[in-house]
Amino acid sequence: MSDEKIREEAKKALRERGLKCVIGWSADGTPFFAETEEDADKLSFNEHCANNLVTYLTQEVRSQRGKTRDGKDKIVKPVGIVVRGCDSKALRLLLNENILSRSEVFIIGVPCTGVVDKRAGDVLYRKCVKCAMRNPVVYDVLASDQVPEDEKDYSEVEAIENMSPEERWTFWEEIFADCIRCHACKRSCPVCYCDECLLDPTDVAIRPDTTADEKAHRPRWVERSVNVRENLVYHLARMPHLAGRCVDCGECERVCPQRLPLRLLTAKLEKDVKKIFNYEAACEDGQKPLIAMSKMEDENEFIM
Amino acid sequence: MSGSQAAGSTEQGAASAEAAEKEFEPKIVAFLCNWCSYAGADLAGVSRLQYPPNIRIIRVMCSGRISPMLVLRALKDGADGVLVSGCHPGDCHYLKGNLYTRRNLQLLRSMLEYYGIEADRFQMSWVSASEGGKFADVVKTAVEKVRKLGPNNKFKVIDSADGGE
Repeated sequence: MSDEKIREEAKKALRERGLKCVIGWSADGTPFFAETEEDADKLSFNEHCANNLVTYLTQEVRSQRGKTRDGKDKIVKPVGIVVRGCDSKALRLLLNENILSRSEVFIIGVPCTGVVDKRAGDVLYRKCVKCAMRNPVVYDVLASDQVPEDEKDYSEVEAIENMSPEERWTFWEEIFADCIRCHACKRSCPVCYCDECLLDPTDVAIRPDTTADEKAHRPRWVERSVNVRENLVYHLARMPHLAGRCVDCGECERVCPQRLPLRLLTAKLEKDVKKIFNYEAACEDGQKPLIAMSKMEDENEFIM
Repeated sequence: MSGSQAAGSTEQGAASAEAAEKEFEPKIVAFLCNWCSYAGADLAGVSRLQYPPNIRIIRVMCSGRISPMLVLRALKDGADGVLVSGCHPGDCHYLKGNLYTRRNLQLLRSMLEYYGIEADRFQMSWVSASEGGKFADVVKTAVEKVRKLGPNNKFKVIDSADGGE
């Protein structure tokens, strides 16, 4: 079974590769950091393992970086991780963007047939019903056999596109009236790794030499107050940052305490990126970011 | 006498209300790049070409500077439209700035539409330093398109409803 294979590989890697830890799930589906070989026996994968662990991986690796007192780079112990198909795409994106390097991570892939939503009464997550990325795309070892995948389904996005502009506005207004701006979507997003986020004014680093004036004048693109208008802009403003980067792992939607259908936004973005630029996030190793590329022959029709 | 005065004032009131409705003057924030479009606007002025006074020009060094955040912020804070103008593709002073911005803002435009904000509120154009006439035309078209859409009160309405709670 895949559990035994995960444990065996985790133990082997902890022993032979000198890993700092292996990030995985325990049997009840909570994230679990196995630092010793005994710990590794608690690793598991089943339909309750819903968290995307890649965010933890970035933190674990980045927190080890820095300089020693004599100015040399600190030694970064590699970190192991158990990933599903969707997680592995996010991980590949981070590798492509040089946030992590391949030597810093040891990847155990688990093909996944969907995870269940405890809050909704143990039914499959919406993203898992039809999933085009069940098999890991980047891994050192695979814990079980690959599983068949579905076609990507954009029918929900198309339904919104077919509404009139007024209907669409009301639709989003109703959705984002419930947003409490806890920033969980941003915090849990594996590809949102900036230390300072321009959408979160509390996020700006305050150093001992930061003056009161600087604190008062830090950029506030979106006000902190929670009202529909700011909420709408907050969620819309996240989209350009995710263009060609969002891998549709659905973590934002999963962690949302208000259960907002955030994937309706990212799916539209993904659809546009595919349609306009024929580009798909993290579909190959070493891919250049969409926004960092430019082509003379890009579409020019919408320009006067 | 007082009667005629009252009649006069109501007539006037009706007339001014009608006029306000008819002559909605949109405010459009125009981001122009320093090397082409701003110079183009300058040329339009020097050549004494007429264009509507509805735009508020902000000069930037390159259209590549225009982050989607700037566009969103302008719309959020009540601009009726946003115009971004830069050098023609291939003519950018910084070689590729306008190409990057074209990618970025095209996606933003599509997302705005998905939100239910009319795509015409956000417009882009390429105007070179020698195209004073084109600049005047671009502004005319942009203003006409936004005038047709009416005031941008999507964000305003929400704000007042919120304040009332």
